Amino acid sequence: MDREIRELYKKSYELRIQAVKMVYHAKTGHAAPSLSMAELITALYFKILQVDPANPRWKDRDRFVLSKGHACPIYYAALAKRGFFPEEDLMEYRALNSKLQGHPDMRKCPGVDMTTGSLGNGASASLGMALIGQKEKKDYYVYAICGDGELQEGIVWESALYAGNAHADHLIWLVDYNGLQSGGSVREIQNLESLEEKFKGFGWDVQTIDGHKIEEILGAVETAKERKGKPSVILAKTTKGKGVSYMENQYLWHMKAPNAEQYTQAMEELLKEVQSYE
Amino acid sequence: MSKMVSTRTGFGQGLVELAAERSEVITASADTYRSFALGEFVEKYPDRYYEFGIAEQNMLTASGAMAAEGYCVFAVGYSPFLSMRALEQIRTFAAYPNLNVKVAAGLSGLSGDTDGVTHQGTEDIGIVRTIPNMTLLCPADAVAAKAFVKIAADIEGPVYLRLGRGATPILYGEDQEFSFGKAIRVREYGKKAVVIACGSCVYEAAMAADALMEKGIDITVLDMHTIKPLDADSIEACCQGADSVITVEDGTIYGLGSAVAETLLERHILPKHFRRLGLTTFGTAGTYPELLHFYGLDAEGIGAAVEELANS
Repeated sequence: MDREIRELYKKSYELRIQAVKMVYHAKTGHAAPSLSMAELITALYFKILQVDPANPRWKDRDRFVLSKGHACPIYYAALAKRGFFPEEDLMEYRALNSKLQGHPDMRKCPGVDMTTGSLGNGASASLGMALIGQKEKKDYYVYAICGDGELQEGIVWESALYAGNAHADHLIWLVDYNGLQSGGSVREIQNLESLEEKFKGFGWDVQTIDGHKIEEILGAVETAKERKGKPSVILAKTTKGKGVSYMENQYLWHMKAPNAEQYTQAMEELLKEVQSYE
Repeated sequence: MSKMVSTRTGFGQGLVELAAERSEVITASADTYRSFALGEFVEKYPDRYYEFGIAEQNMLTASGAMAAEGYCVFAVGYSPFLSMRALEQIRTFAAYPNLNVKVAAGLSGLSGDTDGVTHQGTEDIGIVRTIPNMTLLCPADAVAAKAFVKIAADIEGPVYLRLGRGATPILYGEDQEFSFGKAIRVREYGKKAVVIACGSCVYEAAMAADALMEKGIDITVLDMHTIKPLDADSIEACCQGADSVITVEDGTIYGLGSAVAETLLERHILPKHFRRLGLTTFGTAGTYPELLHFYGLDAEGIGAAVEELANS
């Protein structure tokens, strides 16, 4: 494995450790939804996104919107590791009046481009940003990570329709396709399949990848950038809770903090992964 | 009878003038191009016009993001679909991050007229005024609507601009000055009653005041065009010593009426009589003048309410 890729995998597990710590410390929060998108957020913040932590509002930066805003523990962890704010601040997650609110707040947290948390709306926000980029003939890309469950929201498809018609080819959505939502399986609660066909019907370019393979994420984003005239969606197949054995594929871990024993086990498992990439 | 012009027309004119002065002004539409007469704007500024189609929620959140990119976005649609269907988007993605989204809402109050309840934004004031960071403007006529476009753009943060549909009487001269947050004393004959109104009801209240004066009942009429923040000082100054205070709005009384009631209590002003004219039920289909009459919100109805309280 390439040294750089190896480093990215290692980072993805370091971010997972922070995310679980934050949820444990706050005694509440969204651990498992964070864990499934660890490689996605790592690839974005440590390889793909052109951003400047010293100048978070840099006009020509790439934009990022966490549409599944509840997975902010790992987003905050990535922002901190990337230098937007000190890593020691991470334990403020969900604390009274903290900059690390239970869902991302653009006015409070440095590096957050748009307030999100109400599902589906991040998709729409990313569309708005992409339309402005188009209008100003900018080169920047707008990325959004969406959950699969939130694709049940109508606003997502209102946005998808507009983006397709607008040929918004600097808009790239990454769907953290872990198959589970708060109350159970997406397929059982309100099936989305075929997502590929749906997005194609809305005029999008569609790729399906393994969302835990950094090489595939980087490759898919490169391909998305090469495809002109269409917005792109990358359906990243993932495992909810990835990296912590007892959380994996368990929807009940959607919003739940581990107890002390579970926390110790999670740290051991995740640390082992970090070490395996050293 | 005054000249009749729709507040939507005044808004459209104001928007074109504003866009000429400010390049950051853009317009988002929910298939409201035709109904808001946005043709001139689109012709002059095609690259500053975004047609979302019939998708108010997407329009509002995307407008928030566009505002986050430094633009002043006028999001144009209909009151019931903006103040209710897209309420969460207004609240969470415009108001909460305090972004420059100016919600221009036609069909507010009973102005959805013969379309009936689905198209009447009769609860919008009551709903929107509870949202922090929000400014709520309610122009009384097309002259005010035109002026309020610029006032809205000058405000840092979200604004809900309450507009009507059909032509309504012109109350103000072209030279009328409007100040944000400062109510206008439209009639000041006396303190037998103070009528605090907004939107097209201000004209009706003014006509009522003129007719009442003929009968020897002298009242004051206040155009409360800014409902949030409410001009509590003007309310206090006008209502202090008044026999009756009456509010008039073309929607449910939990909008302007409740806002004024709160202020009176907070300012320790207890007139002999206080009455909120407006709806306590859903509306119904009818022309706008018919509806104002039906609900007692036209000059005749307002006059009757003042007389009833004056004689009680």
